[in-house]
Amino acid sequence: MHGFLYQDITFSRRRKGQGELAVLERLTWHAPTGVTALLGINGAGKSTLLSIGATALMPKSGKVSLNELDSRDQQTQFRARVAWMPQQYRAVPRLTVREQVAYSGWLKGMSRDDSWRGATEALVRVALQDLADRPASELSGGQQRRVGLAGALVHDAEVLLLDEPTSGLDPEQRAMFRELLVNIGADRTVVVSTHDTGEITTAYQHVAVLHAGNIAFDGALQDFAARAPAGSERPIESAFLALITGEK
Amino acid sequence: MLRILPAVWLTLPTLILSILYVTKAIYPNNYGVAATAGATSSMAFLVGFVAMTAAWEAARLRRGGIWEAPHTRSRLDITIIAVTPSILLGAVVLLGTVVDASVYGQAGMPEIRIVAVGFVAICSWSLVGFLAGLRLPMSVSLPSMLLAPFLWFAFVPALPVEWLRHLSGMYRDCCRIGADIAPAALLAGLIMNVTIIVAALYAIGALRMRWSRIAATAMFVTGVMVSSAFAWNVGPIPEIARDPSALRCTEVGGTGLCLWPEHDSPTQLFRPTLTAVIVELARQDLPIPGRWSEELASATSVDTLTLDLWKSDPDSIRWSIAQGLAPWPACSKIPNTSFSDIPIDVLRGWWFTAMGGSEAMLQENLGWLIAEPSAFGVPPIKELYGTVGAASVASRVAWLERLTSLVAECQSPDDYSVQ
Repeated sequence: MHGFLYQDITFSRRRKGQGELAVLERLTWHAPTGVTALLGINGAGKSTLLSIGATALMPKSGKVSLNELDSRDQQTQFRARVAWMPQQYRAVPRLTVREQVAYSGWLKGMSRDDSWRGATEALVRVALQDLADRPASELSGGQQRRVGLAGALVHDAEVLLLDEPTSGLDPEQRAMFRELLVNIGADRTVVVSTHDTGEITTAYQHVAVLHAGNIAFDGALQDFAARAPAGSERPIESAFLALITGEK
Repeated sequence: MLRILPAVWLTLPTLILSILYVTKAIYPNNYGVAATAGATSSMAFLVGFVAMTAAWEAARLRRGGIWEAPHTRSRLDITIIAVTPSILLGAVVLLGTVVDASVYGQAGMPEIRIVAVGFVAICSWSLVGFLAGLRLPMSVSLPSMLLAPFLWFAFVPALPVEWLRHLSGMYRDCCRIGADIAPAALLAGLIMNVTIIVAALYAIGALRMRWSRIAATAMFVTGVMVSSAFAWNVGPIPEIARDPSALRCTEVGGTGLCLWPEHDSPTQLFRPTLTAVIVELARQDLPIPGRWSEELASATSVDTLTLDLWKSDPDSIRWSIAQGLAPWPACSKIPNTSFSDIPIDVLRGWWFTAMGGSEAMLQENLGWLIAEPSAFGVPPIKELYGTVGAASVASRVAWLERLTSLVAECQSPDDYSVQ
């Protein structure tokens, strides 16, 4: 099957005194082209799912593939085509914003020249070009997340996995981010995890809900909104709550 | 990038420190190996800076979450790029110090093998520093990496050749020009540092295999053992006799005269003085060995006079020859033997006088014997030398042979007079 595919993924964490706790159980999910909101309550395993997609974590069983590439057997090529922005973004001390983003490009296999060029373009996309020569560690939390986003965009990956990218952003920055999503999601797979249903707007074409270790819903935004009880003021939130609480 | 790399900023101050240290530690003497060994003696603190800056780089990557993130570049790539500035710092300072030592020591070409082992040591310590930076808080890794090399370089089984040479004084300088550094010592240093490199790469995760930690530990232990075995075999002074093919030999009236190239430049007085001495002793019909050579005594035959030349002025050269012609007898080294060195000094003084050595040098070396000969049971020295010099050739040779054979048996003559 083509596209970005999680196949039969099982992942558990070992907790002290509690043994193994299953996080994902035989999860299979095809992330479609376009922007998908990955919804789930805190602790549902959204970050784990994205980390596995980025090969930062390896599942106990199952595999992730992107078209013909297997994340285990062709890890280097797979990683080159997948970008990941973790929930906790940390700047390398003393690097400027531009250096930080260029270094991300180099780490993803770009040449030195290409990574510098790509960094400049990525910073324009996240509207940080004016801060390019400032040390990244001196920026605000929201600005640092945009640096992280630029780092994910720099090598023009086919799949973008963004873990809670809007946390810490002010309303203006969130609006800018939604606009950016529309641009970057046109021809690639973008998965954005969030537990804040208020974030879900028309910038997203798809919704996937992670619940009890598996994908409880996977479909178009409109289909998801349609699951909300009639007359809901916040249809996404209502649909989400209905889904995880089992209410009809 | 220059702005953010501590290695770049530390290069110049470290180079200045290193040059100051080495300039104090060595003296101009024309010996390339001595200059190189003197230069590499700064390694103990140089590698501290190398390891510390590598630890700094690693700590930055760790704090930036780079190390755990999924990249296309391998950890080996990331490690190499991260430690390169530290290695360059070490290489620039090492080479700068070696060049300084060679110029200051008027020493010509440095000993490349020692520099090569020093460079490998710099690479290994940069990786040790990188590992420490990844695993330890900066407040621990930085100071510990600055200090750890001092402890390591004093750990003799590790055998960092340059440091061991410094400790043992085994330089190819005035006094050991016939010696060469033992290949086993170089190999031991090389093996040890390559072991550290490979073990550190496994521990960092830049090289991967099953049971990496066990493999890294096993490799490290094996490397230390192999290196120590080499170090054990070469002993505290890691030297072998120098290849004699480098000797420059000429014939002087039937006597072979062989000098190392360092002592055979046209501006030096070694060969002209030695030639004049051979001619002079032959003119007096004195028995001299058929070959004079700077090879180590252990590498020469019976009929060879071992030259141990340490100063280039004619009188010092003559005194060196006198010492070679009247060496310490083997029996004098046996414990609990009571052998006085007076007869040896008498003999040396006589040879020196026969060669045309100056009064001043004789006074400098044997002034105590000249001042109070009776206190040491010998006749007035200058009168004795005058008498021997005025005697017939046969009497003079007989006096010399009698005294020499008594000394060879560790006996002191009752009578120094010419028979």
